[in-house]
Amino acid sequence: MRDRAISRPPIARRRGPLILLWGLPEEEPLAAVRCALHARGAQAVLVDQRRALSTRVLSRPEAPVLRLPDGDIALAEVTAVYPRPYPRVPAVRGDRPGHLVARRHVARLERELWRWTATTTATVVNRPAAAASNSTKPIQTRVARACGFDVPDTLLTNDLGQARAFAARHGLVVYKGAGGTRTYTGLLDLADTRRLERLSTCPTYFQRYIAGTNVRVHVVGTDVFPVEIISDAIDYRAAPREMGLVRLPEPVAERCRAVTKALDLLVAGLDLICTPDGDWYFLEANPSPAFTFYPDRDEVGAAIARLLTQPGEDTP
Amino acid sequence: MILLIVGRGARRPLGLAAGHVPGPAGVRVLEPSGLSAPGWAHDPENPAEDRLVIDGEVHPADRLTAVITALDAVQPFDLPDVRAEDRAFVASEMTAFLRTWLGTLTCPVLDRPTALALSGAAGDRAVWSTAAAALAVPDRQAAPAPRTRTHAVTVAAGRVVGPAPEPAAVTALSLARTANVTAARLRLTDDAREPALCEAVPWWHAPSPAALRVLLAHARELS
Repeated sequence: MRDRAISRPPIARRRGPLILLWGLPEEEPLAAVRCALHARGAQAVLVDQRRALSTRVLSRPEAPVLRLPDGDIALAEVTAVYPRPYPRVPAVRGDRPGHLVARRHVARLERELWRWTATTTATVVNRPAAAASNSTKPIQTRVARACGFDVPDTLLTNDLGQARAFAARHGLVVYKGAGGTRTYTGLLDLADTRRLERLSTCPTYFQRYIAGTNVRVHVVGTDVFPVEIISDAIDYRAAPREMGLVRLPEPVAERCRAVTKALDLLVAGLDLICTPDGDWYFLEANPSPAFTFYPDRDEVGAAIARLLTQPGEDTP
Repeated sequence: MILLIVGRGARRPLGLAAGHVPGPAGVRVLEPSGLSAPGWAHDPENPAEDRLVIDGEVHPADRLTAVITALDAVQPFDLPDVRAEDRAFVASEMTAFLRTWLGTLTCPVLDRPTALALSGAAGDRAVWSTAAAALAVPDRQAAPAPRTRTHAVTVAAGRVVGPAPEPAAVTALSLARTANVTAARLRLTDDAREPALCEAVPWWHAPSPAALRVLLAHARELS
């Protein structure tokens, strides 16, 4: 893994923006953006996690160089980045000989790339510090309230008495993950004593259940792409019955843009609920949205590609 | 009551025997496993009603006069009593809880959590790069390790803790002040005229009882 004196030839550079994509080529959102960039004729280079063992960042006094299997790229030349690294890299799964060395190599590569995305002047969709807001959802709801959204009453507790009192005040209550681990939202069942016995393990995120229609809004720069989801499930992702494009009232669209900007994100997937009375509640923001799950995937992918190629145009 | 939050196994390197904290009474220690004691409650919209649990006792959060955080995130190894298959998830949830709770406390928190670290920006290379640029200090954080000699300087509450040559000490203090970081350990080149910044990490990455004493004294002043 030592830095070799003989460098690889640089990747042929075309005029115009140079966009770096980082992740797995088959991952749907990454593939959609890659396809949209191709359609725009933009030069996009993939940092393929499957080839992580043949990839590294070389420290150079002038500027770091990214060494890919196909050649070198001076990171100073990169104009935009779309990082979607998968948490468990396929290149280093398993227990074969050299596994630990490989894992260390990949961990170092990821650390270097994240550090670079934190400080580069290139457009990053999204920067790590901003994307990390996903790891603390109660902070997102505070930001959303400041931007004019209604947010459900909330309690984080590991105390059964507090949870019972909260449920008594609000009726139906849901629980969900407060951190960045993907979880499904569920309805609190105070009769489920076996589950509640484990509540003390750590403070759990409870919210008043808000009845209404789920609306997912992808914000890309200043563009908003709302989708209405009809579902009988508490968490629509578990069983979406119907999804369709809708129009957002302009004040709500403006709040969506404001939340995204306040979270320092360029792209976000916001989960909202519109009540039968027409109140709009903010539930959470996803800084790395899997937009290909929704019917307007092509439009969102194209908008992200536009943002990456013309960063000055759409950046809030 | 001053609260010191540390990772599992961090007490001894910080000079804290179990159940004992240096300095006057009123300092309590919380390890991540303490978040499994029933009684914790936090309402992000109304933190005045929050409750915390220390050594099995429930306290209103407004009893806290200051908090010192010496961990960046709860890790699975902090939670030996949690089922192995749940540890990573519970660690992530506890980190989220601490981040939102510490962010709403009205007492001084050294330092307030950032999106990336519970103990603040001391390990954030971007923050130090900005500070270095503002002070015209050469920033070599992204460069290969220098072949020249370097000095590690621990700064805490506007003071240098332990011996350090003057140019490095002065530069480290200026950087910490500009970065708005209360405590950190910086590595600078041995250059009498223009020390360059090579690395910056939170103070507790190289645990120092002396740095902790300075921070506790500072926390008491702020209380």
